[in-house]
Formats: sequence, C-alpha cells, structure tokens
Amino acid sequence: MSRILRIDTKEKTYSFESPAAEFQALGGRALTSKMILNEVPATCHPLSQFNKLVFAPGLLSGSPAANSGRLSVGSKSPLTGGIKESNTGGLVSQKLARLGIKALVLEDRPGDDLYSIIVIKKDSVEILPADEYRGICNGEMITKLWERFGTRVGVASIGPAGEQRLTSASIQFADPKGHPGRAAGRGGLGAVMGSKKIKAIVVDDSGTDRLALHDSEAFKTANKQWVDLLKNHPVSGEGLPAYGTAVLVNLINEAGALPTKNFRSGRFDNAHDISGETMAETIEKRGGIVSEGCHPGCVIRCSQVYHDRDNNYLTSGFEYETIWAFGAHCLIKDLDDIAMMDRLCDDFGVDTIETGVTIGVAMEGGLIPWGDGKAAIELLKKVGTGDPMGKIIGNGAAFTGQALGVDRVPVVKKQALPAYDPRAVKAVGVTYATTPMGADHTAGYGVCQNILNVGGTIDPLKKEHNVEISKDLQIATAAIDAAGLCLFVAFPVLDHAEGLQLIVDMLNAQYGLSLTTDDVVQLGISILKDEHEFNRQAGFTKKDDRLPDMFKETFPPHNTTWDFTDEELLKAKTF
Amino acid sequence: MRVELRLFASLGKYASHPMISTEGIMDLPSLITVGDLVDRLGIPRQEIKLIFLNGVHAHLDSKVNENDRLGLFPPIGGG
Repeated sequence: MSRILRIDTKEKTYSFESPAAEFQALGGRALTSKMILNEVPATCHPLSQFNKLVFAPGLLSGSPAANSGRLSVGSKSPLTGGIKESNTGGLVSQKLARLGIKALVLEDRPGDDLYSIIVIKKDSVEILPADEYRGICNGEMITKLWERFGTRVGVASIGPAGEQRLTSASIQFADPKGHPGRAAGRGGLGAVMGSKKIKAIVVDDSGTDRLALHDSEAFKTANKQWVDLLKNHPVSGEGLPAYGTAVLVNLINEAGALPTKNFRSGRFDNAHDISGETMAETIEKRGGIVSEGCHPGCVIRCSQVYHDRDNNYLTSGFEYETIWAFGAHCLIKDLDDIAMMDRLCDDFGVDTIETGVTIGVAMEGGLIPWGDGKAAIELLKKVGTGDPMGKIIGNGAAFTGQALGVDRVPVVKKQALPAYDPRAVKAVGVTYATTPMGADHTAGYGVCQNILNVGGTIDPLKKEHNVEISKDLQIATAAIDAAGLCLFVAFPVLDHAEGLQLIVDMLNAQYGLSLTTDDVVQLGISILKDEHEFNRQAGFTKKDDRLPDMFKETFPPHNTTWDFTDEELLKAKTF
Repeated sequence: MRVELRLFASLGKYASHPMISTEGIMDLPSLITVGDLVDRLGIPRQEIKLIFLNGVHAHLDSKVNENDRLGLFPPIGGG
C-alpha cells in the first residue's frame, strides 16, 4: 500500500507511515487539502514551523492513463493567507506514485540558515547539505542536479525568490527535457519551501516496478478509449498542440475580454503581435519546438520551446496567461521581451501571472512607463538580486500596489487576477471571487461556456446562470485535480458524456473500487468544503469574496460592470 | 458595405483570398449573412466553430452590417 513520507526539516530526519483511514482513498488535491485542514493551524503564519508543504500525486498518476501526470502541492499560502493547492506538470508526480509515495510532507523548519536537498530513491531517503546551491537559479539548479543524479530524475526546486521567501515565489519543476518550465506557481508556495530551507527535491524511481493495477485489462480498455477521446476532440487534439494555450490571445481579444492596461479595456491593439499564431510561426522560424508534453504520457502536448533571435533556447511552457500578463496588461507588444520575462520568472522562481500583473501595477504607479518591455525586464531582474525594489515586486500585486500608492489593484484574496476580465467573462469572474484559492481561472474555467462554446453556451455579459456554472466547474475541477489529470481533459469531458465515466472506469480498474460518477462529484464537493472550512478558520468572510471596486467601472467594448451581490456569490459555495 | 474580417488559427490560410484586403477589409453587398460570406470565400462551414460579431457570439445565419467586425475561429481553447 502507498505510504506517506514525512520529512522533519529541522532535525533532518524522515519517517514513512501508513495513511490514516480518512486519507486512504484520497490523492492529489483531495489529499493535500485534507492534510492541510487537519494538520496545519489555520491561523498560523505561513512561513512558521507550524505550516506544512504537501506534495501529492493524483490518484491516476504513475498509471498508464493519458495526461495523468499532474501533481498537487498544498499548504497555507503566504500570498493569500488561505489554503492553497497549486497544480503542476513535470516528472515528480508519476515518480512519487511509482515509489509508492502517496504524499511527501515537509514539516517544521530549521533553526539555522543552512539549505538542504531531499533525495528520494527506491530504497533510500536522504536529506543532504546544499549550501553550495544557495542563490542558484532554477535552470542551472536542474542542470546541476541532473549532472549529479542522472537525467531521468524528477526535480522540484526554488530559486532566489523562494530563498527570499517572497510571496509570489513558485516551486519550479523540471520538464521532460530538463527545462524549469513547469511550476506550482500560484500562491507563494516557493516561500514555504524556502522557509523550510529546502532548495530542491530529487525523485528517482529507477528500479521500481510498474504501478500495480487491480484489473489491468479493464484499465487498458478504458485508457484506449480515453486516449481516443482526447485525441479526437478538436480543442485537445488540434488547437492546443498547434498553437499552445496562447491561441486564446486573439480569441479573448475578439470577445472583448482581454484585460488591457490594467483592466481598462477588453481590446489590445497589438494582440496579433503576441498571439499564439505569431508565437507558433516564430518558434518554427527559429527552430524551436511547437508542441511537446509537460509530462510523459501527455497526448495533448500544449507546451513548447521558444528560441531567441539567435535560435538559442529562451523559454518553455510559454502560456497564454503569462503572455497576457506581461503583454496586454502592461501594453508590451514584443513577444521576445515577454519570453525573456517568462524565462526570468522560471529562473528566479516566481509566478508569471502574479509577476506580470505586478509589473502592470508598477506601471500604474509610475515606476516605469507603460509598454516599456526593456524597463520591465530590468525591473524584474531586481527580484533575483535581493534588491529592496525586487522584494517589493516579488511580493506581488497587492503589496506593490500598496508600496506605490496605487488604487487600481486587481486581486482577490491578495492574489492577482488572470487573463479574462470578470466583467466580460462573468462565469470566470464568479470563480475568481468565490474559489478558496484567490483569483484563479483554473479553479472553475467558465471561459468554456462563456466564450469557447464547450460544455454548453452561457452569455458571458449577463449574470444569468454564471453562478451555477462556476459552482459546477469548481466541483468538477477539484475532482480532476484529485485524479491527477491535466485540466485540459475537461474540454472533451465537458462535450462527451462518456468522458467522466472513463475516468471512473480507470479509477475502479486501478484500485479495485466500484465508484460511480456521482461519487466523483461528491469527492469534488468534499474537497471544496475542506478548503472553505480552512479559510473560515483562518478568518475569511464574505468580504473576502468581493472583487475590488475598480471592477464597478464600465469595461469597453461591451461596457459591462461587475454586478454580483454578496448573496448571489455565496450560492457558488453553498453545497 | 465595408466589413472588417479576421480569420484566426487554422482559418488564417483563407485570408489570402482576393476579396479580402491586406488590412482584412471586405466590400460586400448589404443584407449578407455570415454563412453567405463564408461561402463566398470558399471556407468549409464545418471548419468554423466560433463566430464573434462585434465581440458577441453570432451564428452562420446572423446578418452582417456596415462596419461590423467579424472574427472567425476553428474549435480552440486553452487556459
């Protein structure tokens, strides 16, 4: 049976334990959120010895199920002060699962300032001195660890931002090529890892057997249909591999919902320059990689490698939200400048959404001019140096807005809003307001029904049905995160009724269960209940579910406003 | 009448049609529908999933008016 591995970061010791009864059926986000609720005092300081950092592979992770290599990282967030599940690709999830580790839990914190790395292998766990790596950026860190431990190991690491315990610090993960392009980005979990003085975690599953499946024939049958479903849906099978997530730049701009110049309008004149189409063309011209997976077994392959003008590697995993945050939000139209900032974020270890929005807030505060990509790069570079200005930027949009006396600060629960204006994509606005995570599009991606016509069609500009759809999507997303599936499986699953049944079939075949689709829905609800309960204990109330006043302004071109009441929003979290 | 047409993602290959100026402007008879316009350009209707007329969801039978902005997309998504 899978075990829980606990690391005492103060004593540099470890222990394995059998999961408590209530943890046994859980994985991914279901497990991280349950453990944080049960074991972390909700009122503790996130950087104190009382907080924990939990890494949990999803329930299907490590199995042959397509697109099941996602990892949940849970903690009390230093950014929001609430519970956090940050979700990532990379190599760690599947390797932990194959090692029979259901959850890796970092506890306590050292009394000194010395860093360690954790090395987990089939027959050993080591906590090794790592002060030689202090200050090293994530790209170089992964290179050094692959040189030392082999090029097949999974790596999770923090950069200078995590070491400084900045509240937008990420944990970066090596992708299959060893680039630091995958991130548990949101919510400042890199700062928690930094507070525990863990510079990196290395996971080596060599020598392990394939994951045991209760009924391998039934699993194989379901997985074959699952692969077909993902490959045959036009979004997951064609659009995402061809253009990556950045294909949304033109679409969201055309829908009048691309937040431009710090959420002043929904159209960016230079959208074409930063679009997925332009990105794909540039990648091809420079010999980069248009389509690759973020973890082995991915059949969607929406990631990519972007080269610079000299045809050398610049960045990977160049996402729509990143391109929007440094692009339209800041009025920067040079894709190479944006790619450089994506690279710097990966290397320093900061969340690209939080950081891009923060740069825009810095422009709002007059620190650098709107649209000045080169000035933005120089400002961002300060995050890696420990410069006080870098510390302001690295602590995110809310902190920077306060430091600069800015009154237009687009955050919920102190977390920056992503790339869809809540006044023109109202279902995702409801998600920003009500998810326990702080403003987070992935928590309930109402863009599907509002803009993409996937899983139905709901008017994005009116209130009707948008609370209900956000709630349903938040439940479904929590369950997908527990399964360890990539969120983009939702495109075919929302359009095809058999999709959810196939997920259930694979879970049943792997574990010898007899779950129904309704059980999966109930799992999603139970996760959200745990998360809301943690936030309630931490002191969150309905006032924390409001969008900032700036969203009462009318938003061109549709001239809509944010008009939901507290009572209406409450329905999205009433189960 | 003047209509501003934008063809995105895999539909971009149809943008070189002589009826479309390099700025994406078309000169069309009045009372045309999106479907008629698409047929004139030789774009197979099944390749089109999302139609935005002045930033709002529209359909193949929606009427196009003077100075409208029309955006056509294949099935795409991301996030």
